[in-house]
Amino acid sequence: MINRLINQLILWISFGIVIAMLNGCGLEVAAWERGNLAKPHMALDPEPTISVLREHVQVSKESTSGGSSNNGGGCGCN
Amino acid sequence: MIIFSTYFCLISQSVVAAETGDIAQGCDAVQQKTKMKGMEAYRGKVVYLDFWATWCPPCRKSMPALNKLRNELVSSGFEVVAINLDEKQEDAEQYLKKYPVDYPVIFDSTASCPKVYELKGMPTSYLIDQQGVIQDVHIGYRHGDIKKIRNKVQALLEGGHD
Amino acid sequence: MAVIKPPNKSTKHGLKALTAAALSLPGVCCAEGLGDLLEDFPIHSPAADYQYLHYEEGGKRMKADVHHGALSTSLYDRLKVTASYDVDIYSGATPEFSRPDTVTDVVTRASAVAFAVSAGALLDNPSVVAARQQAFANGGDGLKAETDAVRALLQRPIPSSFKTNEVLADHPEETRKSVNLSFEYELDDNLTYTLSGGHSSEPDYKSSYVYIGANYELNQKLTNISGGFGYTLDRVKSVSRPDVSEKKDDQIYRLGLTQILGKNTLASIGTSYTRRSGFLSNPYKIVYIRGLLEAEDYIDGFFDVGIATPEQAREEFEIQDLWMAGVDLFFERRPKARNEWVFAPKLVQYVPKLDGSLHLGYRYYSDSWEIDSHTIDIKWYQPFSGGWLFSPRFRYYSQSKAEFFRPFFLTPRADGNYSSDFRLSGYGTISAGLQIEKKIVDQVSLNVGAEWTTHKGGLKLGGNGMNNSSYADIDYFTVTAGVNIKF
Repeated sequence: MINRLINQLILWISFGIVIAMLNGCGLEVAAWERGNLAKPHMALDPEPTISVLREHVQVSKESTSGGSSNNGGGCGCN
Repeated sequence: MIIFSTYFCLISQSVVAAETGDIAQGCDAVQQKTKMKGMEAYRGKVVYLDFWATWCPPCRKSMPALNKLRNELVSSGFEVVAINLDEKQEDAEQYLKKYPVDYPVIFDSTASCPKVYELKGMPTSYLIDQQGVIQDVHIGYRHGDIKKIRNKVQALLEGGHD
Repeated sequence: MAVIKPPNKSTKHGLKALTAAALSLPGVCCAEGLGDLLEDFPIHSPAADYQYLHYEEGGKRMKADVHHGALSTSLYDRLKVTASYDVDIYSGATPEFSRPDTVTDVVTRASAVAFAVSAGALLDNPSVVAARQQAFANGGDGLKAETDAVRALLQRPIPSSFKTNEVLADHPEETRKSVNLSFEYELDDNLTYTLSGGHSSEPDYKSSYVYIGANYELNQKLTNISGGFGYTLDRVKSVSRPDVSEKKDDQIYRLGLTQILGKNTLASIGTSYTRRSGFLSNPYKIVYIRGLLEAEDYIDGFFDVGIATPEQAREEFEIQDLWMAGVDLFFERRPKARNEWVFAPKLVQYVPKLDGSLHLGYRYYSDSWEIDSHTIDIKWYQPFSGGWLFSPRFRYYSQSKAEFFRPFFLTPRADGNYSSDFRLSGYGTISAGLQIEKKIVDQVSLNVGAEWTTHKGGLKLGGNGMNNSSYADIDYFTVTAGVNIKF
């Protein structure tokens, strides 16, 4: 259990570093360049309601649950 | 670390972004196949320069309210100038056919204007006074914002005539 | 002073114009304020959804119909409120337990107690011989080493030559109803809070949950960090066993990161840790266990061990006290706690040439019951003119079995945990489906979809799932249909 927690922590720290590097101005998607990201089918989950119902079925058949329902992406509008 | 890099990013960019007190710049955009008039053409008027795109929901939400405000105050020396940033100009044209506005819309599919102004978000609007000086930068559009915009426009209109 | 024209009041705003006019009588304040209030009516973009899902297993097993309805609206552009109601109706047959098809090739019930005597063949097994020799060499307890080795042999995954006989139980039609309410509050342009809760109820199961989360956008909204905590409290009963009235609770901790990687690329990572504790067994599932004795079995003089009462038996022996369901049949028992970890990265890529997008998802899951699972999810979204959106998809899922899972047990386990629920077995599934959405007008869209799944022991990653080709292998399909209305 401790091992898994440490693994998880290492993973997150490495993501932090990668994201920091990406965002350190090397990565630039300007506010006006997000037309494609704003398309409905470019959402992280374009069909949340159907996903919830499907997950409902999967959880009743499989031993695994979780992992969905992140936020973000989209047009980045203010 | 993330926060640090973001901070660094904002600092390095804010040097070039258009801010309150700057003179509003002209830029190369196309208004119905003629070049956009330089911002000098609007000297003497209070101008609300609005950057928008059809894919931006708060932009769309602001347009009917802006149109109404513009029609109310146009005879007092107020104008809305909208710069559309859709990559496909026909997307914007189709949208405007469905939801027309009375103020001039300029198409800038190559995004030359937002680079001049260094936009930070969508929508971004600049309230420019009769002397061509940016008096306010408004990022985003939410419920109730039109009231604030109206008050600022009216204050500028009144100030300009005093 | 500028001359400001009065607002342009068209006839369609007649009521507003009238009230505004009435209030602009001398001495009445704030006429324009009221007009603005009406104009800025706080309800924004209300929406209504209805979604239907039908689930059906091959071989006339389980069937389910799920109805989901939701209403949502935004208040003052900042607070989004969503209320939903679900009704699920289940019926059909579900596996109750399984047992060996023949009894000739395994030890008898009594022999499980007197291992060393009657299971002579087992004692000659190389692994048992090796254990015994090692124990003697190290001066250890030879009999104990031998017994442990025999137990290990009997607890191996069942060899492929061993046929399993699956027994189904009819499940009466049962209805589950649930209500959910969620609030999303945008504190400012970057920070959003979420609070949601719900309750679901069926005759033998009640569940309530709350979830609180936050979502922070930074770096000009290129990066999104989210986190949350949820708590669920369940009450478990059994229609057929009035003695069962148990509780369980779940705590879930979530952390998510989404990053825009380019004009056309989006990536996200979701992780979660869940701790479940309490009654985690399924009160209907039965296991077949050879040689498991109840406390009462010790006092009938059959073994003559000098035990007079069940209490004395419990003290003298490690009695596991499973509930009996028949000869060699007991109600299953799972550990009282379960820790689950999920790590799920996702990539979304727009393909400008086709105006389509690829959604590539992977999920790794691991828990303290020794179940590991891998899920791969691939979806393609292809819009067509006229408001059509076609989305073919493919999914592969593979899990290893729980440590205490066997189709049946040839000997008792030391920890007293047993389950033959096929959900805890090692297997894989492959699903393929198509989802179609059609925008009728700007405000109304319809969707239909279908998905087929095949579930097989042999589809497990590495192939060493339940080797019995027939055990727990099922096919099922789902069809969905729905309507979304934005007012």
